[in-house]
Amino acid sequence: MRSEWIKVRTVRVNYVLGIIAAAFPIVVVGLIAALTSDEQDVARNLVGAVTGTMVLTSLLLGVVGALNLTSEFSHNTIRSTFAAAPQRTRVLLSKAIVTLASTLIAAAIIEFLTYLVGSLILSSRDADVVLDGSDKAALLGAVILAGLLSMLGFGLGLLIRNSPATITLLILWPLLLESILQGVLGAAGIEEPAPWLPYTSAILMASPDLNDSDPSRIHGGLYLGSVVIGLIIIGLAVNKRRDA
Amino acid sequence: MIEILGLTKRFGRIVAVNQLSFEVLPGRVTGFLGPNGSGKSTTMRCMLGLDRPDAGDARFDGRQFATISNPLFEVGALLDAGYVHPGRSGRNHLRAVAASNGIGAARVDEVMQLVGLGDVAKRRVGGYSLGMRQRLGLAGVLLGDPHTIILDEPANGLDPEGIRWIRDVLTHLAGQGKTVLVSSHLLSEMAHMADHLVVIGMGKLIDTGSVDDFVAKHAKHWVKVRSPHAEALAHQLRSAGATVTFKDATTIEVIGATSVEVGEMAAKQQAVLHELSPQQGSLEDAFLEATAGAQEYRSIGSATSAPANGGPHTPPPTPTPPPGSFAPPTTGSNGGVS
Repeated sequence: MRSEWIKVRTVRVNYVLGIIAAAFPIVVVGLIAALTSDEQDVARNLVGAVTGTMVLTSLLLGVVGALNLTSEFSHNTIRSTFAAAPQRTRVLLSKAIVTLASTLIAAAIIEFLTYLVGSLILSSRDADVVLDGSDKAALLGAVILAGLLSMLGFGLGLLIRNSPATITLLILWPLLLESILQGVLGAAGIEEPAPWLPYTSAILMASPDLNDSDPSRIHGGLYLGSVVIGLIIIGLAVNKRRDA
Repeated sequence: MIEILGLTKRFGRIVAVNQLSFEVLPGRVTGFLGPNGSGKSTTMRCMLGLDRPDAGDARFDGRQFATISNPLFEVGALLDAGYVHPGRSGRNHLRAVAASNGIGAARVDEVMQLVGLGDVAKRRVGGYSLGMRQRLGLAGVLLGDPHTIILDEPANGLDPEGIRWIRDVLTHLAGQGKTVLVSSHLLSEMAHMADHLVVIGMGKLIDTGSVDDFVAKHAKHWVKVRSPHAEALAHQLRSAGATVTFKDATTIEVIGATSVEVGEMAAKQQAVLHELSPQQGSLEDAFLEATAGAQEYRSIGSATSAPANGGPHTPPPTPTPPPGSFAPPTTGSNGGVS
């Protein structure tokens, strides 16, 4: 575990992606709060702005999660890793735990800073920032979504082992694949396809305002979580047999 | 001690390693030789569980590598100096490797100094030369002071000082009773370093034994004679069934007769001898002879240095590459085999 933590901390690209992931929501929410002409409305929907921008941050953290694994294969350092610690499943699980923990911590810090910047700016403009139960659930959901996406990247990386292909699939999954699936399910007569789509249902975890027809946050989290766990289990089994 | 038992590894239809069995004993440097594509690196990866063998087994003191909980203390391996993240510093690379076996940063700094990389420890590996990466890999091998050491082409990219250094390190480690298996295509270096050889070709064992025995078995032997009466002596030797090649008017090389037999024949003829010396081919000659039928990739016109017609020192003909192409040389600058 310590070895994996050293690896995460000692590669510059992780910091670069982390800074981009942090800068995007902070800057966007800060600008919205500073430039809006209706500060009361933005203050009421601040959590929506924070979690909405956090979705992109989650995807970037997912990319970091994928790179933490796939860069080992692309640079062949996985061979040094397995030559020093031949119990592959244990090594890969350690890597997954470190990736998940660092993603959750990073997402929580970024989200907190984003909310802090937004609320400070809005407060300075005499707007009342209110945080209700649904807002808190959405903020928690956004952090969990980041963790799940990092594990989705990790699981895809375990199966694909190639950085560009894994990142492409990770980004295309929510942006393209699920849109196509949504159309297919709609054509098949399913009126509310969201509960059947792992990313689409999971993203609702980060939404402060759920409709009655939406699946619950727990449903979304469990569904994407199940897909991620399935991918990781298959990936671990495959990697146990494959050549490093 | 390393035991390889019936190891077989296939990549699709290609059998990279075929029922390979051999032992590597402690207290000596064992050279692992074979032409390009002979399966040396695949064998080493299978030994460490990095490639999954289709059959057979590799054991370290009776145990499979995968069952060793902290292998850096038992088996140190350097398979490729390129197995490092270019964006990570040499020190951080080693810290990560060391931490997986509970080895602290102090030991990392110690081995970095030991291999001469102390001053560049914090520099990113992407800026290292190949020789520096080899040294970094060796530092990784030494982290846990293991009793078994496996190195694949460790001298690649090293300067002469580095090559001598690695030779000294390996012979010193073998002298301490450690088990050392090292592959190299630098045969002149292997001749200096190894006590024992395992030679493979096309995934199969060709021969195993001491370096002296291997050379004696596979290299050509002949007798060099310098005499002002070379012509008459050559006639006599040919009549006795020996093969004689003239190098110049007074120098002949004789195959098929010992130096004793040649000396006695000269004495009977009252021929004056200025030189009578038994000659033997090098490890490179022996290697090329032993692996002649087991080279997957051969240069156009490559040949073993058989002295039968052209004499023992006749070099293989230099291939003429077609315009715009490169034919790899048959021998390298350090006596290496391409």
